[in-house]
Amino acid sequence: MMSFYYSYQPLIDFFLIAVGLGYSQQLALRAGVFSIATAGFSALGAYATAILVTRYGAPVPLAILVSAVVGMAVSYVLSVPLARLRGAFQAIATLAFVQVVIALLLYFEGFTGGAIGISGIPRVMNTGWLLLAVLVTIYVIWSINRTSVGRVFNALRQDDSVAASLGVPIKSYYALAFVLSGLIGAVFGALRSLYVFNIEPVDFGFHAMVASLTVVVLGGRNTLLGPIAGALIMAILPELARPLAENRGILNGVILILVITFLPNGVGDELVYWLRRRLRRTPKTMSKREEGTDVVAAD
Amino acid sequence: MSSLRIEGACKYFGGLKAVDGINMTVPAGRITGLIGPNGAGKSTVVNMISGVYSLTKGEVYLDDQQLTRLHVDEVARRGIARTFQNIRLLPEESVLDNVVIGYFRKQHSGVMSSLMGLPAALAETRRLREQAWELLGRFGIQAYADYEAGSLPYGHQRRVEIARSIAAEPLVVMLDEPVAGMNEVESAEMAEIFEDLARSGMGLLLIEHNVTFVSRLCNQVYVLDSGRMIAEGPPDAVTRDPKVIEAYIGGKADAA
Ligand SMILES: Nc1ncnc2c1ncn2[C@@H]1O[C@H](COP(=O)(O)OP(=O)(O)O)[C@@H](O)[C@H]1O
Ligand SMILES: [Mg+2]
Repeated sequence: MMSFYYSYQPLIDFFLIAVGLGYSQQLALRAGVFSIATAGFSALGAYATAILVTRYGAPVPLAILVSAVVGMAVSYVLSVPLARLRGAFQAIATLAFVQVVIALLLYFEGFTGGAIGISGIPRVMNTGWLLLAVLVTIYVIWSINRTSVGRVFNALRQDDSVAASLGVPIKSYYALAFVLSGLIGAVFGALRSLYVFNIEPVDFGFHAMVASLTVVVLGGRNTLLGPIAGALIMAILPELARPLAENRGILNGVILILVITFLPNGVGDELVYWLRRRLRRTPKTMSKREEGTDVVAAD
Repeated sequence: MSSLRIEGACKYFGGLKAVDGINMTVPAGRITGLIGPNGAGKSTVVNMISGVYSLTKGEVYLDDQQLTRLHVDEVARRGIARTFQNIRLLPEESVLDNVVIGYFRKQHSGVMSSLMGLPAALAETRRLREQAWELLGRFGIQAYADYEAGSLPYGHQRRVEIARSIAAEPLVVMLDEPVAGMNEVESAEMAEIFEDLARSGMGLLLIEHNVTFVSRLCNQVYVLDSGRMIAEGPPDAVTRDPKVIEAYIGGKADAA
């Protein structure tokens, strides 16, 4: 076990970061917000922390807190115009947001280091802290899933006019989902910057956007297992594909197409749904149902 | 005892006067009928009251509070519930969870308590699931509690939707063709539930094609034709009204 950990430690750490960003992406989608802004939020979080720590010698916890606040503030402001859009238009608007963030990072060179970015960031993150951050995120989303906010998010995704007809202030809940997505994205961006020594704008560009989206598409957009399964595939795949060397991208593409075709809900979601169907076959009494709910159905 | 009123209500879609200057009262503890041939404007009335459509003219009141310009969710929070003529359930959700969401208005635990998974929020969810389970029993669909709502037969989906609409004990519920597609036995079961709800003090607006069904349940019936209220009164008087007979025979002959 330990030797496994040591040989794969960087892989595990990047897996944990990918899971966190995956949850940021998933939270928006599961509430019916077609956002791909996660890469932008993680850029804001990463730069806020990196600048505070390297330029102003701010203590790390404070820097992360500021990143979190920046993520929430920016996503809240962005949620206002976003509430007027739907579907593909939200995707385009959030794509534009990511592009604007990157353009600003390049433009304010004196502050952000321009294309070179920021280096010399202390590496204070390790597997333990990253795991803790992922576990806290999971706890919050698990709580959401088992309570009122989760019910509302699911309703928004499936038919927001039904939610409104039941008294749900839908704009506020769309904003809540987007702000939580912004918060998680910014925090994991900050943690990432405290792990990789240096950050530059390209880290948060198109590639990052596709990566966090892929985690959710592969894993699933509704269950807690989704981003874990998605990030796991993304982490293991390059290892398996090592002999293929430069054909790795092709393998990624093929796997993505296979999953979308045969497991359209994503590997993690399909697994949870399958388990739920198995549990449903047990005799239907209130107590049996409640047990089932606590184990898996609460996702 | 609250009553819902609309006064001089008009809804025009361009040149089409879908609803044209109607008055109607839905008192508490009663089942009020709204009938009329297809395209008469009945669903439009529901959408106007619930805030889906803005009124071209006229006002909506709940007692002395004005509802006219409120948003859909605000109207719902004032205690006006509805069902949809084309059933709208959350298709991926279980039957039970489709009803649980109906309690939204009655929830006490806040957003933070939900995010932190505090005991109060979890206990509330448990309690609402139990209440929803009871309600499914009342509608005779407990056996389907765990099924995906979208997979149920049409008649059962209607029951789920009605259960959802009354879960939070609204002051007034507007039922848009609630027994469409149900057989005699099923409609009679629904009728019993509607009467129970009225006895408990709820005001019901029952929109139906089936004149016999409405006549049996309502003290007061309104008849809409091409956006105008052509008759109102007790069911036996209204169904004998020549204008009503003409509207039904002259329009589509789908009155039972
Ligand atoms: N959103 C809309 N836009 C344009 N016309 C509409 C709209 N909603 C309803 N109408 C028209 O208003 C009239 C009344 O429709 P509706 O209220 O659905 O009738 P009913 O429920 O009595 O069958 C119909 O002619 C219908 O085509
Ligand atoms: Mg209609």
